[in-house]
Amino acid sequence: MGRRTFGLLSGAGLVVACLAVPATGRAQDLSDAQVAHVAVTANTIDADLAKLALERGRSSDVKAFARMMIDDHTGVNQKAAALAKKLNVTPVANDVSASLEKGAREARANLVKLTGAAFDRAYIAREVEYHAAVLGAIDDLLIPTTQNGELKELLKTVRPAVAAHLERARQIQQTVAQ
Amino acid sequence: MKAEWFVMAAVAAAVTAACAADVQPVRTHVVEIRQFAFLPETISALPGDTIRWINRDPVPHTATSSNGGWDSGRLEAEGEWAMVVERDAAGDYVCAYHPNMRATVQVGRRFRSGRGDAKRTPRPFAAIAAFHDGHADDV
Repeated sequence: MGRRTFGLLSGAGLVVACLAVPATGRAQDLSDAQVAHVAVTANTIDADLAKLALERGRSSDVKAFARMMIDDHTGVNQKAAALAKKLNVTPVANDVSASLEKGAREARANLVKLTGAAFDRAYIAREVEYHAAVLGAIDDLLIPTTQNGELKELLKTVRPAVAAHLERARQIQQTVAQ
Repeated sequence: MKAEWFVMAAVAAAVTAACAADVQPVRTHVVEIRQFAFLPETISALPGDTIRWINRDPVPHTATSSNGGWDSGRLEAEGEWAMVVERDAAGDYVCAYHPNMRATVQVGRRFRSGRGDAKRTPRPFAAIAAFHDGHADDV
């Protein structure tokens, strides 16, 4: 990972992957195969957490959001898998995806202790932080570091989805806080 | 007398040609769903026109009338859905999965029809009517 650091920030019992790019650093550390693994991992862990939200959440908005996460992240992963096959690229695990997976395990461990309104608040707070972090990673790491034009284009296509998820999560956060 | 017949024939021919040319054909408008937005955001159509939605995103979307009048149902990536416009199709619509995606269908008045079932209106009046209906976005 070179000079790039991925830390875990813990707050309110939630853990999100956080990207820190040194001012002197350029996003050149990840290969395209590693970027592909990060993208697939980021989608998979959020879809998996959404399944937990369908089981334990209470608010209809939260459940609708969770269904959207499953649909959208699954759809993006299908497109990513098709592209990887076309490009004959096998996604390669790396520190970034490991960090994302560790954060997801910790988030899940905290969320499974909660139910109902408490779950809704914690889940949506996590989704806000997670999507903000992923959006930052797309802009500051994944798109700049990607060499293949089609993979870069896929990331640019996915960015509005992540931004829309973040916006919607923030809206729901206002309602579940009441 | 000969000159009068010639003038009358010329006028009749001109009126016939004008009526034929004035027929407003039904049109197909295309809305692309791309990067979580309906493009164009506003469609101005006439009754009988067709609007076709094409999902260019990698995730499912819908085009769902906010007043419940019509609904594309789930559109998978590259999925399409078309609707023949009726007068009551006008209004805002959203993606049911992503309610922050919003757009509008405007429906004007059709003074003439490509199907020959509407009354004909002289061209200048039709142009004014079309202008007032804001029918200017054909794709």
